[in-house]
Amino acid sequence: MAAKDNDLGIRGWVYAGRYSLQRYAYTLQRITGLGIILYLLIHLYVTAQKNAGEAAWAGAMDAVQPLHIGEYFLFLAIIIHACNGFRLVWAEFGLGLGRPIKNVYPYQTCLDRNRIFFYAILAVVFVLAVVGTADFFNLIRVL
Amino acid sequence: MKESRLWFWHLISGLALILLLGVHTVIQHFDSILTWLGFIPQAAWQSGGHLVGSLNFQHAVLPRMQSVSMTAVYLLLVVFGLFHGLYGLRSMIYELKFSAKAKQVVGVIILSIGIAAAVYGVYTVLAGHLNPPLGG
Ligand code: HEM
Ligand code: HEM
Ligand code: HEM
Repeated sequence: MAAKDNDLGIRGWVYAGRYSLQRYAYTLQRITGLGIILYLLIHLYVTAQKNAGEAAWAGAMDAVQPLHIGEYFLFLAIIIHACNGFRLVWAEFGLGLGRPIKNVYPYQTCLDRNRIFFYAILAVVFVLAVVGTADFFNLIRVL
Repeated sequence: MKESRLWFWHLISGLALILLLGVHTVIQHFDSILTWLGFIPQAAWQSGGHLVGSLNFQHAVLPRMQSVSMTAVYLLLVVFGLFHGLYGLRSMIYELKFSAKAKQVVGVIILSIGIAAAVYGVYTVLAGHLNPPLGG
């Protein structure tokens, strides 16, 4: 029998097949990861202008000012990627997944057991997002 | 280097980045809270046009350039950030059906981008620290 062709090609970057919620977190992990690395390459060039003094710094900051809102989305990307990445590192080292169990009905997968971790991460992301949003849009005046 | 070893470093750099990028993100995005806590001077909000808080040159950016610990954070952030991000990008491209030859070319291109950006980034951070502008 011919092997089933499981290769999704570029579609595999966004479509997980019949996998669970966490697989879409993984998709999000990749989108945010790509966004951050792209940003970093540009970021190094922009922030390097600080070395040319205050006027050059102000010039560089003025030039990127129209993209300022993008920084907010980048912030969200960072907290999502960092929190979910933390969970993935644990899983990849095999921590917190419980002992292996017999595969009897009703079937339980490691992903079910990992789900608590997943919800905890969602809660942390939510709290950080609220604080970051308040700070970014100056909703809190602590000064 | 062996692929599994690179992947291991991808995980380790991820853990390191939680701390490094965590520090950077808190500084850049929670700056009104940091001012309230006393880590950023009030003066950072009173001068410098729209460049206030963490982006204020005299009261925030320059002091960070002169700080040894912030310089260390940035050096590590450059290296770990580039490795982690570019290795991640490479993994994604390698999932696609390319010939071994094409993958090799992609690998070399990404490695070159990484080395060039790392040299540039390390230079930027060190130059800012060793030779701060305006006589700092
Ligand atoms: C030879 C065995 C295994 C290998 C090579 C392996 C490899 C991996 C890899 C590479 C990931 C990264 C995420 C991804 O690519 O989607 C992952 C994630 C994960 N693995 Fe495994 N794994 C193995 C066995 C197991 C076992 C036995 C369990 C459960 C007890 C498990 C539970 C998980 C979980 C919960 C995740 C996180 C998935 C997510 O939330 O996205 N793995 N594994
Ligand atoms: C959204 C948010 C971000 C803002 C507002 C921001 C802002 C800045 C600023 C103002 C500097 C200049 C140095 C200083 O003021 O201390 C800087 C430097 C730096 N940032 Fe960011 N950053 C952000 C995100 C990131 C991310 C996501 C990364 C890495 C993955 C990163 C990596 C770096 C590095 C390596 C430096 C040192 C290079 C230099 O000094 O020119 N930043 N950032
Ligand atoms: C803040 C701490 C971070 C943690 C804990 C973290 C962790 C992770 C983990 C666990 C993965 C999945 C790797 C795998 O399963 O093989 C991943 C993927 C990725 N990360 Fe990060 N990361 C962090 C920051 C960053 C930064 C700053 C960048 C960009 C400069 C980045 C870019 C990427 C990319 C492009 C991928 C996709 C690679 C893939 O799916 O194979 N990450 N990250």
